[in-house]
Amino acid sequence: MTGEALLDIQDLVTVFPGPAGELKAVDGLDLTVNSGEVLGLVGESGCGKSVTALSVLGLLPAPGRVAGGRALFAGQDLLTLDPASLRALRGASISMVFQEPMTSLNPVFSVGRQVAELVLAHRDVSAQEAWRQAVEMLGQVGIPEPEKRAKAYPHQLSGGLRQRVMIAMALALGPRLVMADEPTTALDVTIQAQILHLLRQLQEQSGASVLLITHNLAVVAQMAARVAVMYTGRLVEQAPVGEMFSAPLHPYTRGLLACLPSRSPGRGQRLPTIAGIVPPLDALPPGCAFSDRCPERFAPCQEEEPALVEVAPGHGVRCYLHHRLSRRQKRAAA
Amino acid sequence: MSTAQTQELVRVEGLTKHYQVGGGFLGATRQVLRAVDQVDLRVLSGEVLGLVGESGCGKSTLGRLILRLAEPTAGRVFFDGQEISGLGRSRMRGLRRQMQIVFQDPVTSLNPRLTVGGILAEPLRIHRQGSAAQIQARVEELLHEVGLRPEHAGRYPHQFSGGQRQRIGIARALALRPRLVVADEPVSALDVSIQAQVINLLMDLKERFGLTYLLVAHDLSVVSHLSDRVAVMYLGKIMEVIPAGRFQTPPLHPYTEALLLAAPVADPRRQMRPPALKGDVASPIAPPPGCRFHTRCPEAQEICPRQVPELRQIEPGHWCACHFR
Repeated sequence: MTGEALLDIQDLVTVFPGPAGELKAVDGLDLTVNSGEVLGLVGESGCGKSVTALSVLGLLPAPGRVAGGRALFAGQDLLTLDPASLRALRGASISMVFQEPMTSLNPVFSVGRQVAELVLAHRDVSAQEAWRQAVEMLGQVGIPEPEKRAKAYPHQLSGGLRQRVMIAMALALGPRLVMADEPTTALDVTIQAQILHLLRQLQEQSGASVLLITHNLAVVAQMAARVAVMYTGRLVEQAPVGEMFSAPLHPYTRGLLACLPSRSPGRGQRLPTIAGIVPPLDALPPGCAFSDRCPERFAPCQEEEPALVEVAPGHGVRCYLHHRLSRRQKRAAA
Repeated sequence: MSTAQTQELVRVEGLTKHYQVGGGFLGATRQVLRAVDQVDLRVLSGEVLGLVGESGCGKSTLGRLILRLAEPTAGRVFFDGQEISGLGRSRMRGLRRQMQIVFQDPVTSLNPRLTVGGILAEPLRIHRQGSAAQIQARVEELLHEVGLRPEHAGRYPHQFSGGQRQRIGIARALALRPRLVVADEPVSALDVSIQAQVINLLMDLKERFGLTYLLVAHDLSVVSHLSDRVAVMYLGKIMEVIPAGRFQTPPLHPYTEALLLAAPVADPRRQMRPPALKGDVASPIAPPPGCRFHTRCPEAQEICPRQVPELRQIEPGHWCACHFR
């Protein structure tokens, strides 16, 4: 079902001005979303996961700036595309679902009108037909009484219904790629379950690819086929979801999974922790960006940053421990 | 269980908080929001009682009512056997030393104009806890207890990370050596790795100082990890009170079952199940009659909208408000 690369991000660098020179919020990121797959992009706040999506979409807020790299979408580099063509792609071929539907929807127009506007902007139909399609889409995302709800304003809907409207808009024009940035973080757990289930269903029906950005590892475990983990603007590990959760390799990934209360050995036990805090981008340690917190640091770690090396099919890790392992494995194989 | 553990520190009876909403101007009708409705609950000395539920279920309001940070519309609150509802300001002040709160958002709950030393000294000064030198020493001790360094006393809240700010919030709550700490979503604003550090700190401090926690949170994995017992709230009512060790084992209230089913599991081998609950939480303004959960309950029967199920003991230590459990 999943196939070739639909979005191929290569060596993406995004910078923000800092007090002492530019800070790299994304630093040399390589990431591929294959067609028809759900890729989970995870990491803690400030790791650059949202900035990655905004960079690719040309929506990076000033004073951020894409300083290098390519983002090939179906062979076209989004980073060099003229604004008009990019706008035509956004909404139609690539769409977004954000965390907070209240701030992403326009408060002064009915939700039906907002979906219809989107249809009108990209399709050659009458206003009446656009409204009809909008109502149909609202029905498809499970909004009860869509004819009536289409006339409602965002504030008249619950958080769960608003997020359904956002999803209807994101899927309105049959996109090939949906970027969902913390789509359920603002929702209660029973509503989150509904929205995740809906996203999964619609993704399977449409065959669209989804880049699911979240800090919630449980959401990723349930939704994604592959997972990529970011730390201080870098990809530190990527793997098929089963491997990522059963055999994570990077000490950061291992630490993140270990400190989840749901994976703790027993109730009331002390949780394993990752020492210290994520360093600010202008105070990264030399070499590996995780080296100052890493319990398994050894000499080379603070000399030079390790590369992201594929140690098993589809499993890449940016850590010298496993580079060594992989060489040994290669020797064993040879 | 020893007798010391089973002694109750807090008891609430028929506790109710209604808010008037809307209206007021030009004769629009005022409505009543039933945030907390006829709640009976006990917090045992030395335990962690987890209080879970979705937004708007009244769990934070209940925590505030117990601390008398909000005045109840009806009902009574007992602390250590003494009724505190209706106590005057000065007598309440003496009791406040024994009950403190940790807030969710360490950014907005710390005064940005005070240094950390000032923030921690403030409750000590208000409650006249010794000379300036003694207060100074106590501040340093508090910083140490929550894993911060003495030199941090001179810095301002904005100079700290989220996790460190939450440590400051916890230190402030501990300043007066309370017996009860209401922790209102103490880790939900924190990143995963920092969350684990703060959870460990809360457990260490409880152990060291024999604290009792009312832990208000929406994250079931955090609540079941930290708690001895869990109380589940829905639309202002307690639906279930259950020992945390049995939190995942039937029989459970249908709402608790739905909450557990809905929570995503950090294990890709577990298939995502279709959502157990349809629709949204009903409004706490004009909540459904009878059992408040009946509009979403997959097992609702004819009796449910007609009769409010009582919270009754269905197994030793396990209380459930459902006609069919």
